[in-house]
Amino acid sequence: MTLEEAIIEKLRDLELLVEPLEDYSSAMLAEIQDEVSASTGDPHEVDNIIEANIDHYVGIVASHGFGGGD
Amino acid sequence: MATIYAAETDSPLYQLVSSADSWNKTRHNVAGYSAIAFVNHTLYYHGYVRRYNSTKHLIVRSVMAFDTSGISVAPSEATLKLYAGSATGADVVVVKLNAGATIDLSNNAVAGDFDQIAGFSAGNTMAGNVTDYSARPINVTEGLSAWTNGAYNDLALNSTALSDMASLDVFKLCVVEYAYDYLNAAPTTELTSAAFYGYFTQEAGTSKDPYIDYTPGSSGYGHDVGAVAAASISEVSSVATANIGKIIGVD
Repeated sequence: MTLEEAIIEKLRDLELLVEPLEDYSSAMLAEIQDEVSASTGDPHEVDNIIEANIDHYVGIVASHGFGGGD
Repeated sequence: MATIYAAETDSPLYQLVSSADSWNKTRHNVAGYSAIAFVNHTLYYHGYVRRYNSTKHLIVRSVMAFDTSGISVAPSEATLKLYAGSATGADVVVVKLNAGATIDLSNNAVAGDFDQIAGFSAGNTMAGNVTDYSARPINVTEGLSAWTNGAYNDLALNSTALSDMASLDVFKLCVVEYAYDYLNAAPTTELTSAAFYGYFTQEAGTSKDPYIDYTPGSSGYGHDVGAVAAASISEVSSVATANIGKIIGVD
């Protein structure tokens, strides 16, 4: 599993991404990937990083005009 | 009929807890496990419950506020209209939000509004303890097998809600998932689909915004009759004043 796939899976698991993936911008996913990579590039660590900072990642999703999807 | 749209402060309130006793901690706003107010969401859950495992649960409730300052007489009927997105299936209940909740006509909801439900107490069912604004649960009560996706769905408000619409300048409510959250019935197996998924006011335009449709109440004939004060008159010629619009052509 790639880092991007791990991020998407985690965001979906936490119900932060709900709508079909193609509805979300690549810029949003890239920003989240940069954030996570700054902490670790290990997909296995994604769960803990995102879940421990849900507020932060919700903010990123919302800043790209999403949030639950539309 | 008249219409009041929800103030643009409505929000899903999201609370995820990974911890021992997580069900009880997820149902109310305890220190260290704060809910998150998704104030920018256009489409999300109005009511949602998910059990990941015995130590991890997610609950979503939605809160909204309406400007009812122009209503002085209880409407004869009112219906909360929520536009459903896809995958909407759960029964929900509309309950009263405390006047002290942060959300109002200009201030966004905050995490702490999660358990600002009138009568709510941690660890207890909401049934019989909170102030209901609708039937319990709406979907089953109204004989629906499912909500209609991609359309407005009707949540009829009860007499308590009608009275509060007249007495409160800001009418605040919360939508709660019924089977697990409202009844405080912890799911015993993995559960992912107890959801009412719908739009909020952040959606562009108002075509999918939450709103209340209501029929204005009648205060009846309000003038003195034969030097008797209107407030002292309940009937004229055996007709209740509430049912009298005019007497001999006079409003």
